[in-house]
Amino acid sequence: MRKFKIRLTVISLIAVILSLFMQETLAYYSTIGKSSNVVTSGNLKMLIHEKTDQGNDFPAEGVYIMPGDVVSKRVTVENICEHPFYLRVRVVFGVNAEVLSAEDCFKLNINEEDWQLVDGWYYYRRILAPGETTPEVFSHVEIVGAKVDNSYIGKTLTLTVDVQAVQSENNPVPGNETFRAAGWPKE
Amino acid sequence: MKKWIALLTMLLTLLLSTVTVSAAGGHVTYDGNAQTFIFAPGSRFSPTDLFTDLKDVMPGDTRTQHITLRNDASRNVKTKIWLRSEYADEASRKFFSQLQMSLQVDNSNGQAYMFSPSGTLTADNDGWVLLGTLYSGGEVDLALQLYVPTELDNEFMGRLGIVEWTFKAEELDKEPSDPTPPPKTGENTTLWILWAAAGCALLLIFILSIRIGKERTKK
Repeated sequence: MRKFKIRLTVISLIAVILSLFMQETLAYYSTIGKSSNVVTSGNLKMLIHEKTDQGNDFPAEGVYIMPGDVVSKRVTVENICEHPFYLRVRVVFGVNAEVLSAEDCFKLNINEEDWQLVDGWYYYRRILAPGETTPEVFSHVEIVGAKVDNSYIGKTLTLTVDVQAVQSENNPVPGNETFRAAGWPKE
Repeated sequence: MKKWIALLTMLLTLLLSTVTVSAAGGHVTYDGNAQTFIFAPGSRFSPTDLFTDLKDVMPGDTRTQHITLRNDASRNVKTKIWLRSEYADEASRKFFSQLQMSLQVDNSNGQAYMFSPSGTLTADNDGWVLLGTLYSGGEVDLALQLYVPTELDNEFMGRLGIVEWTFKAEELDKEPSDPTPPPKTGENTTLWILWAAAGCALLLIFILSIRIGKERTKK
């Protein structure tokens, strides 16, 4: 009987040893985990400021004009995004009468020191960094008396400022020839 | 007083630099004990976002996202790590089709020897790609390179693309030839208890065997 007990103890101990190491080898697990990863692309944002000499916003409803008048309209552009960019501005004229033309009705005092005319667009000669505002594109608009005659009485003349920007990061240009930057929208 | 201020400044700088280092890059930790993956650091877009450095990308950008993959399984196993990549929606698929991405192992991590990369990164029929085998306690740095072509159209300005990475871990027995991490200090481990128990059991078997032998000779 005693011999049987001893044998039983030995077998139990062997079983204990095996079980201690079996837990290292039996566990084959497969685990799955999911991560949602996000890539975002940047964008370019700008704000056109149109102010009067008094520093007020240019009236959205427009102003009454007479031939020979000089209207204050100070146009600047602000970079309101996280990326620097090149900038170009175009001024488009219009009139609410098919038979009349708005061309030559306005004379602008363009700031040619900072803006360069190439193919109808005024290109800002530098990079506009985030948070910066350009110098004025122009500050005053003269209503050309020789052109705006009686046929324009009661008509609405419009002056629209178009602005386009293209990134300057990864897009170098020679000198200040910003008009040579890649990516300007095709006309 | 000045010494104290200098000491405090140094400690603060050290603390901040530690925080910066630990926050940089993505981290994927396989917690073998809890049978789960832990993803960090996340972003305002997704709590499991690993692409912290791939935000606000612009045409012409080349960005590298470092991702540290760690095997925290305390059992003496090696773990095969699989990856499956899927776009969250059609808009994301279209966005990512414009970008170029490649994933490779960055051997600059001192623990890179704990990773045995898979020879080929080709997906099986279910889309799973075997990255390689990561040993318990080991970690490896992965470098995800993203190139945004300069021709990227304005259509993709201000976009957001989501790619879901599913990781799968398969535990296997370690072999004698497999590498082991350097011993950790200051950590509680239960391995010595196993060895002590086994030693005691063997000693008891030895003593009992002698007793049985003696009894036989007596008879």
